[in-house]
Amino acid sequence: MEGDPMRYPMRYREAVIEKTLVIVALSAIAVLGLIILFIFKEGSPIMARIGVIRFIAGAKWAPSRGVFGILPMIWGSIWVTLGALIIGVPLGLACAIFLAEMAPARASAILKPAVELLAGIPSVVYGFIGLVVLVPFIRRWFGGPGFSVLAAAIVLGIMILPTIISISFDAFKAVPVAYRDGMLALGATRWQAIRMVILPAARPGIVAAVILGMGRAVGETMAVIMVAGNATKIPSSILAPVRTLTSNIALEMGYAAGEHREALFATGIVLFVVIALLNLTARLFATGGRVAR
Amino acid sequence: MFSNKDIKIDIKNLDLYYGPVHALKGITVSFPRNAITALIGPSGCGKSTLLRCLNRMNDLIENVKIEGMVTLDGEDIYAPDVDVTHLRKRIGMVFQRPVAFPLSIYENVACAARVHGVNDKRSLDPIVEESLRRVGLWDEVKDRLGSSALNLSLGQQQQLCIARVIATGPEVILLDEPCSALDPASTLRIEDLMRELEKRYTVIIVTHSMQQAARASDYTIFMLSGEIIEYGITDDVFTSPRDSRTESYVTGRLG
Ligand SMILES: Nc1ncnc2c1ncn2[C@@H]1O[C@H](COP(=O)(O)OP(=O)(O)OP(=O)(O)O)[C@@H](O)[C@H]1O
Ligand SMILES: [Mg+2]
Repeated sequence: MEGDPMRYPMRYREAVIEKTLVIVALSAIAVLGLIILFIFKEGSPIMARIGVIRFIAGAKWAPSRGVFGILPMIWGSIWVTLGALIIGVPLGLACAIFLAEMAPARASAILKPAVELLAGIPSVVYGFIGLVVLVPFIRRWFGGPGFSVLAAAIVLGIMILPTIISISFDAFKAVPVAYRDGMLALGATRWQAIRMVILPAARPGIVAAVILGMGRAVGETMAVIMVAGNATKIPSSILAPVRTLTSNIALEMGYAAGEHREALFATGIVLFVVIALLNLTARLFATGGRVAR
Repeated sequence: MFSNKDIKIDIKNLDLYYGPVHALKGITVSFPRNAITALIGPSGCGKSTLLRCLNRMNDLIENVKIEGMVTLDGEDIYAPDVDVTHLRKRIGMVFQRPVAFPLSIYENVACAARVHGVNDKRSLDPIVEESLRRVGLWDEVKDRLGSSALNLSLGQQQQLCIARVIATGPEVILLDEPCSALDPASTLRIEDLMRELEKRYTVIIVTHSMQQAARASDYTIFMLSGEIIEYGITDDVFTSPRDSRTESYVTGRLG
């Protein structure tokens, strides 16, 4: 085999292609690894100096006086993300169920790509619409400054719709048709079939959709900055202004130096850990308890 | 051949088109009450299609056109005011591949009763037990009703599917090649089960196995490209067929 002249060039080419792919893949991974390393290198000294607990649980953020506590931003991220899920998950699931189980095949073939297109709209556009429509609306009808947890939650809730719709749609479509037909043959209505068998069967995919939507909500920055008000105080109500972890970095990175700059990197570490945990859970649920390879 | 009172389902001049494909041609036949009727014929002759006409599962397929008359106890099942969910409760169906839902064994049977409005556990428990006993599965699963039905063997899953149909309280049970995914031992269990079912239900079974049709049915219908070629008592169809095509099929020279 080795000496087969017909095979030699083929093998040679394959080897080159394979090596190239390995190098490309490794360098991509290396770049990611370096970024993570950099963030940790820049952020961890100050965390060590202040103390992890005091950094995370500190309620005051006053960089000019050297006080770095990110609890308000952690609460901010939690409130805004929860709000986005409360708005986005029911809406998204309802859309996905309609598109996957009820709409005629032709309609869902048009509507699903249209929904996915929404994911491609730059977040500054969502933020802008929130700023000129939603914020004044909330100020007028609910009171407060308008820039608020509520405004950010609504904007984010809409922004995570494409993720939730498209992933849970795929989860519904992956449920064998035989389940649906089996239920209908028992005399079930369409809704009974969905509720009793299709939803449970699609559950791992739905959970993954929710967690990925959550990841997007935690990570989104631009649109949130534009409508949330960005006060570094733990919000007292959903109408109060709020600042999230990502906003904190984006807002102050431009002029931060020294310890302040390190504290922003440390905020990045906290964000990184939160998002890594979310992704891990998504994988666990998507594979029904076994970690995906 | 039968008096009206013995007839459970009656089909008159049934034609079915899948778009341009004329899949059933002028079917006229009746299925007697509390008996097993076997549907045999080569692949693609329309056996499953005919079966699906009886519980209106063809309604779910796009571009189907159905003409003619199908009656259940003398009532037209295609009449505009028929409640299809109620029709499917009266005429249950078991598919070729066992369809165990990804739920517990208990829920797999209970969901059939839930569909028809039985919801509290005190009423569900006896239904589940009775249905599983009827198919001879109770003793094997009674200690693990809460575990996933997907862990059962294929044969057990098919029994479970029959139990599920029984739990809806049907009058007719349609079986579309219920044994084709099963080993010989499970097949025998299902055939024994059919003899039990016959006492209470009208059973219609599609099968590719001549032995199974000969062994397990009272009446046999032989179909060929969308038409009924021969219909009669099973023994007659197998030992003295009137049509030469039936003879060559049952002796294995056709299809
Ligand atoms: N959904 C459908 N759309 C279009 N044509 C169909 C559809 N289902 C069945 N047919 C056609 O109708 C005819 C009868 O099909 P059917 O499935 O009833 O045959 P069958 O006798 O059950 O065959 P088998 O023994 O292989 O199950 C075939 O020609 C088939 O191609
Ligand atoms: Mg068939």
